[in-house]
Amino acid sequence: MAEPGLDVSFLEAIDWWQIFTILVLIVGAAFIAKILTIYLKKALTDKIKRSQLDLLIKLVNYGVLIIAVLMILPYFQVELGGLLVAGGFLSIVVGIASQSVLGNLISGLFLIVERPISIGDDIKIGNVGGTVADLNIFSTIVKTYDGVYVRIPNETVFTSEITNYVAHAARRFSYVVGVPYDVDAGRAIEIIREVILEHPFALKNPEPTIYVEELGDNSVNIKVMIWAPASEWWGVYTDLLWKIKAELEQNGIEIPFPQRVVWFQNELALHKGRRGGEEPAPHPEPPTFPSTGANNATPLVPDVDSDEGR
Amino acid sequence: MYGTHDLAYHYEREDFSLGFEQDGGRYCYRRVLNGDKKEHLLLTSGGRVIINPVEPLNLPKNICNALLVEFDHLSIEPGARSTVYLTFPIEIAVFVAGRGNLEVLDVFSWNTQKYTLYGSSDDGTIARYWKSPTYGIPPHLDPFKEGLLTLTISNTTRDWVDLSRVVLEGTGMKIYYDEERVSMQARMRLVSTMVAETSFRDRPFAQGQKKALELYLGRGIPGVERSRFLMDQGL
Repeated sequence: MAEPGLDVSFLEAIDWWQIFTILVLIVGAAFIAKILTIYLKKALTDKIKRSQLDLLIKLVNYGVLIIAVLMILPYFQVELGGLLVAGGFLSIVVGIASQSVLGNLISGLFLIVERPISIGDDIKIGNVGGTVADLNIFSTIVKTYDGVYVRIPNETVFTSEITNYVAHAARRFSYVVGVPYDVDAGRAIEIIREVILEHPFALKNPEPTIYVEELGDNSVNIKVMIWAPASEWWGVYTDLLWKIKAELEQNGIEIPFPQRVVWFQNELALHKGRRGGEEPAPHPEPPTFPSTGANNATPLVPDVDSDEGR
Repeated sequence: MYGTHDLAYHYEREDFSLGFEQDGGRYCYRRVLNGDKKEHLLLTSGGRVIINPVEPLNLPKNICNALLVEFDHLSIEPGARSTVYLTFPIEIAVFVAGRGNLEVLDVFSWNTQKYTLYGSSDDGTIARYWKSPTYGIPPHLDPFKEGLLTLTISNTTRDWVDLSRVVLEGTGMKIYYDEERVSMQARMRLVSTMVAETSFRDRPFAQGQKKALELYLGRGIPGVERSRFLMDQGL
């Protein structure tokens, strides 16, 4: 029984043959979409990126869906011109009723146009860092580096600060390597440069930059800046850090621990306390320290060849 | 070593060995190069093994589709067309063929790998880097280590053009080989003092050379793959 005001008289004009045709169109569209998906996966999986393939499959599926809908609509006596007008009114009503959903939809469309991120990119949106797993019309799916699924509404994505770590072909990272003060920093820089040049993914151009950045409290700090392909930078970063350390050590340059030279203003004498029942300990030989008095005090030279102070 | 062999093939030279060992109904592929080992088990009743040089863009892993060859700085006069001989790094692939299909078993190289950025970090291209001497006549090269790149440079401008590098697209590389030499022929068309287009010639350097099986041809999409590279970020 039709509700008052809802004209469904056109349904009476639909005969069994047309219903069959509509069903064939629906099933046919689903079948074609499935076949095309399988064909595209078979043909292109090893030829294009996974993200591009997913996007292509989505476009094909939506295309088939739209064609099927356009073919079915005339059976329901729907004219496309009228549909546009009705769609306009409907979209206003739906838009008011669901502003946030619409906001996400529009943000999704803007994201598709602007394309700050793509599927497979390493990104950070707000506080969420990870790999973009999917870009939907309402939300963006991020798989964090811990493997956690995070769904971010597109409106949030659109209004957040987006950091895309792989948008450019190459990126730079840096280390600070401390070497002892008695080591020739130029020699240390040469050793570091050789290690970097041997690594295939530490880019030849732009060249690595290596220089003494700071005369620190405990070490001469050498700044090392290296360019790597954006897709490989993390592997290069972790790989090179240890290789630099190992190569420096192999060349007799140890990365120093924090150390401090202490001058005693007054002569010290160590006395062992006497506990109950203990015999008094003999006084030890007085230790040799720099002579007291600020005027003739000389600094102690740290023994960098031993483990003291490290 | 290059060419088509039976599966029971074995090759050995200094610091290098490659071969298949039959064990019942299966074969074990073993390759050792300077201490680096590779093993692969094959379940096959028989077949052929093909060993040839391939596009040098696979090691340590494939991250880009371009090869940048840097050479001695040279200048070419307006309207001139000249040929220089360069080298390119050799990577060798081992294919196994059976029942009309091919499988890549291994890719190895005597050369060390280095990558570089052509252009700026935001708009540039990652490329395999290779430094080559510039020769006026074809040099003798170790076919297992270096290939001969014949580069024909055409200056279509009315200016002298300075250049010191060529970038070649991996898809479309045409490599030919024989026991003496591995070769590849490329064109570089200078369209301005800052821009050039590079492409390949599908022909051997000498008669009798065989065309190498290409890894990148199979990866390209028919009708879509690029075989030319537009050097628009400097020469």
